[in-house]
Amino acid sequence: MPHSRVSFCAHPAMDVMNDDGLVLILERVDSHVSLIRAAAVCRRWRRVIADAAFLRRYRSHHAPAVAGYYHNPSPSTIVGVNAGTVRIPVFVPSSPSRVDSHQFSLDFLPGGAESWSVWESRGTLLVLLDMRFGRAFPVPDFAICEPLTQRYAMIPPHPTPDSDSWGPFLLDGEADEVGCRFSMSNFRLLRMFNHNGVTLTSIFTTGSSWSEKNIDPMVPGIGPDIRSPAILGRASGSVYFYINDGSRTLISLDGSTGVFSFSGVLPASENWDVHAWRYNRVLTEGSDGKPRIVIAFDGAMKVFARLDSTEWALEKMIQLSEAASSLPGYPSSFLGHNISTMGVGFVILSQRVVGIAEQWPFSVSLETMEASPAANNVGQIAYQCERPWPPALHACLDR
Amino acid sequence: MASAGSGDEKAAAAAMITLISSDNEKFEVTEATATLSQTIRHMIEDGCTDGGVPLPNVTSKILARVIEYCKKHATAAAGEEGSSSSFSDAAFLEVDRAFLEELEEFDDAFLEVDRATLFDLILAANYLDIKGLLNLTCQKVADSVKGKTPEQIREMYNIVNDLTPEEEAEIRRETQWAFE
Repeated sequence: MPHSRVSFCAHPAMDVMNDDGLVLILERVDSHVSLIRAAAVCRRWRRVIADAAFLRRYRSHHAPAVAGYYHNPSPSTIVGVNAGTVRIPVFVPSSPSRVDSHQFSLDFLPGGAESWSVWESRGTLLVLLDMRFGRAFPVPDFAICEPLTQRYAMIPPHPTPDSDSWGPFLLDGEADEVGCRFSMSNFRLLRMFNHNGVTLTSIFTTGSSWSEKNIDPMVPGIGPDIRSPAILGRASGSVYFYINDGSRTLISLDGSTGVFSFSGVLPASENWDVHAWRYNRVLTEGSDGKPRIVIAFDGAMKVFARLDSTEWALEKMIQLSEAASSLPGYPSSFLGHNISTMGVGFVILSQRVVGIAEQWPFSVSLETMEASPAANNVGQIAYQCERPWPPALHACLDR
Repeated sequence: MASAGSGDEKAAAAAMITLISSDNEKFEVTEATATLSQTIRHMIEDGCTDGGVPLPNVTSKILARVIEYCKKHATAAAGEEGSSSSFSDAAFLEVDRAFLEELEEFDDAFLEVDRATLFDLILAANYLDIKGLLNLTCQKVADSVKGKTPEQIREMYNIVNDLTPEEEAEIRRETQWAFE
């Protein structure tokens, strides 16, 4: 390329930059919003951005754009705040000015949104549990859907008896030429089930059925005899399970590869028995993208982080009454705390107050351990829903 | 500073390479400085640097800035090697941290150039395959686009809008959410 002589003007034209240079700049643009705006600057920028190889590379380096979060109705033990409202999954947009919540309505599903409860989410997809027949005992029905495109499909029942099974868990499909890893025609589901005392996995791929061929012993090195794995939570695209056999062992399922791995041992200082777990122990993602286990017990909140590949250790601890006492309206007498919701870098606790049915919610940052007032509790787990990838870039491309 | 000093001494003992700019200016640099460029590293490995390395894509003005960057960062690399192999006590880590801060300040100051120079640095860093410099300069331009409208970006970089108003409207309709 001949080197352009640039005259000394205050605003040199981007023309001196060749396409290679432009690609290097645009792939470092911070967010999907900025990228889509850059794609509206001129034909050349649009062509560079709409290129399949560019989109694939961009997607591999930048977190997806989060459209918002689905919350299931509060479990009945958390009373008050949602009383009288319709008990359907609620969509909370990440940025109310940019997201039209109506586009994320689940009303297109058979029986309407009130017939379903969110079970899992990944990318733009949701797995839903059919609530039309209570808990649909003994074999629950699941559907997969993409709210933005209003498409859904029932998930075929798993061939093995369902008495002892876990899942389904949503996994990425194969990345296509623009780096899209999931769509209604490209996803995988994984179930774990117990067969003669051995825990096995089975994978469902779009366009086929539950695959017997993919049934494998679960975690190499741990052995196939894993009894009662309990789902502890999700962080950075992985699902964490606690093995309730006294070994305090965690395993995790990587949602992009579908591979299980050993994820460390919890400290002996706490009682990790699954039966003691309900609303006071969760696993979520810290603001550094790494998993954190949070427990709220006896008026204290403890945060555990992974020390190394084999061990978890106490990272932070606060007395909840001290942390929350400066918040406006703090009820000084209380019965205890539940962890009602968690998100990236925070948990929302609700304080059970003496003599009042309603609970008093507040949020605690996992980074600073500072308490702040929280909005009314909207359910126990937030299921993230992403913007579709690639963004729609069809107009004005000279192909 | 101890780490920087030992790095310089080490470098002084190393072989020198001559780089020749497009306007035929010659620059003598140490091999440690020159090999931050993967392009030049490969040329050295292939033994074709005798008589100097001609860089027909890079002017002397830009090459001088590129060498300034490489010198600073080659020293940093040498300093890091020194520290990890010898001490790891608190005092030494303190020196390391101070040096990293200094390097960050250097990078910030290095980017205080006009846009024409910044673009030339990107092209030179790409041609010479200097990862750190390429990342630094491209990120600077990418960050300038953050939160801007297409019109503001065009203005900032003198980009001619070759889209008709109808086409622009069509583009916005496709991804309306990003423009609100």
